[in-house]
Amino acid sequence: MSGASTAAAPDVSVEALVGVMADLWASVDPDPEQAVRPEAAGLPRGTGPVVRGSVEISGDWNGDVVVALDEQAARRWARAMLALDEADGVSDTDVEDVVAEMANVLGGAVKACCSAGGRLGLPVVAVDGRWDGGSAGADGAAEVATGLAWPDGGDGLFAVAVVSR
Amino acid sequence: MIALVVDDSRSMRRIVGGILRRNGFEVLEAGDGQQALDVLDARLAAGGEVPDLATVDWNMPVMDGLSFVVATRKRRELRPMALMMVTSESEQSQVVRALAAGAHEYLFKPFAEEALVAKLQLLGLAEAPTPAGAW
Repeated sequence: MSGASTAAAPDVSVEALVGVMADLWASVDPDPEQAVRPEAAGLPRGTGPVVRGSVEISGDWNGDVVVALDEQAARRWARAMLALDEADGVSDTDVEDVVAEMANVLGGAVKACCSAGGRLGLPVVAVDGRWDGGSAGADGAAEVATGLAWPDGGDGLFAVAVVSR
Repeated sequence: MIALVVDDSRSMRRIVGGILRRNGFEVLEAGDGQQALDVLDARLAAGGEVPDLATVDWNMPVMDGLSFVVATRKRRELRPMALMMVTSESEQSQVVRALAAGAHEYLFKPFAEEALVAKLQLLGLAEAPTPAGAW
């Protein structure tokens, strides 16, 4: 594990984090005519277990970029990114693959906002993770965190956070 | 045309591979740089052609994308293969590193289909759009 940060946290906004997730969704949306993209929503409270993906950034700033989704939201992403039909089952492996890529893409965007760059680790996914508000259950402080939701509603917890060590 | 999609994410291999198939490519897949080298070696050993294109993620287990680029540039028989980094590493310094190592194009994740097709056009691997008004 990396040591304490010696540089300021990355200069990243809620809007930037939401924009990355919306762009990723747009790249796989099975019905682009509808142009339904996830938008910023209130920061969710911790509830049940979540699929939690994270990727470490190490360098002058050390921290994690976290994405957390409940089962319903995670399966929606998995269906879209793997082009699965409604009739197809979504396995835990499918969900882990997709959430790992979400963390990877988000991590790359955040690392680009680090003043001195850094090293992006490989994503780690826990299918029985926890969402603990802004800290995302990590041993650190959230620099920025937000919930997301699709405007067509019906989905549960979906949140992203940048956490300093 | 043949493309090798190198990414540890199955979902990203599906997305990139789908776009390439829609643009006329036969698609091979590998989950990391070493697997990709193994795919290429097996193909060459069987008398197959070198792919026209490899799309390469950066952060992968076993062998990362930059190491794969360096490894392929050292091998004369693989030099005809165009190399496109498709990665979430979006800092200018990383782009420079990849291009200096031998990558030909660089695409940031997430990307729209049009952006990948535009890169194919730059590499001469897809038809450029007909200018408006042209016959």
